[in-house]
Amino acid sequence: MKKLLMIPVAGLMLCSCNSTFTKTLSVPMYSPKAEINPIRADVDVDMNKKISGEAEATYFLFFKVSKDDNKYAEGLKFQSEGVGLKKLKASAGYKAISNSNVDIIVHPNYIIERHDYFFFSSVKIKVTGYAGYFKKFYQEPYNGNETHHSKSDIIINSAETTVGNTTTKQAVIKSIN
Amino acid sequence: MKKTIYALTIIGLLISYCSQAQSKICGGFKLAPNYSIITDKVENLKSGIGYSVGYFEVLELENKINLQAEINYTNNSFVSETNSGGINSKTTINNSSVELPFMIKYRPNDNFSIGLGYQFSFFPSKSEKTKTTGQADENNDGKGIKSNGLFLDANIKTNKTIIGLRVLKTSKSIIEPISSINASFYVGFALF
Repeated sequence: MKKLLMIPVAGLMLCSCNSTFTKTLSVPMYSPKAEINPIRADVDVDMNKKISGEAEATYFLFFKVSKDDNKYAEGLKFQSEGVGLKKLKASAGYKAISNSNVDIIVHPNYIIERHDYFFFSSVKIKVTGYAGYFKKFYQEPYNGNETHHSKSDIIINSAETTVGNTTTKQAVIKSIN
Repeated sequence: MKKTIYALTIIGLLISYCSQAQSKICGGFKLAPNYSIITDKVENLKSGIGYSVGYFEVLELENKINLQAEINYTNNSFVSETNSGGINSKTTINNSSVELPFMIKYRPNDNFSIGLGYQFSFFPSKSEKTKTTGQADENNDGKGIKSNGLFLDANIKTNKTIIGLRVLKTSKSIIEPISSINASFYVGFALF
């Protein structure tokens, strides 16, 4: 009986397996780091063209039943959510961009439709937004200051104020814009 | 335990293998009278009418494949009658358990589907009630037999109603050492 069961298991495992071998060059000992000046862009927003994309997934207990969409839009930033939901949003974003031949989605809105049952659950994500086209790119020239820009484009410095024996440290937050 | 692991592995692999974009999910409640067909030659034992009540969910995939899962409370009944020296004795045996059947079904058209599945059984309990002429009734309760096993299932679906037939072969006989096959006719009512 055990042997009989092992035959279809082994067969399915062989059918389901996929291996990818990728060769990469090793990192050299000396690797110079280039700081790229910030790039800004003019975007032409077409307010008459609304774009949309959809992605969905179904789960049976802890198994994902629906086939994965294998194309995702990279660089879409989301709030802290599960990996599955992030991938689904990225997939919906990719479909919206690729189906309508635009460069970016301006003001994307996500509608998440979730159905939870006892054994099955399904998630459907629809993204809608305006079509955006890049018109021109600008690069800010380097001005010689060693100021490091944080990810959120703000500069944080600290200032010390001494009154008598008490020294107060205060963070000064400046936007680079 | 090993059989459960094997069965779960097979179900998981089959689900991954059959996975497609989903079509729709439906579910509801079901009611099923059942009858056991005793395959061994036994003269004084016959099957009683058992029952099963439960909840089911069906995922209809685009590639004519249905995935179905259920949670049921099932009762199987057997009756044994003996007559020795003019004294009749009738024993009714009831075996109950909570069952989790999972199945994969092929759907040739929208109304009919046929498939194969495996059911896991939990919390088995057994009760024996003996009635003997001229004596007081005797009751014995104990641990029942788990009705894990493979089954075949076929059903017809009409709008909100599902009517089906299921034949189950348990890995361990409910009335040992007599082997039996359990057949159940079920009616399901879809709520969504």
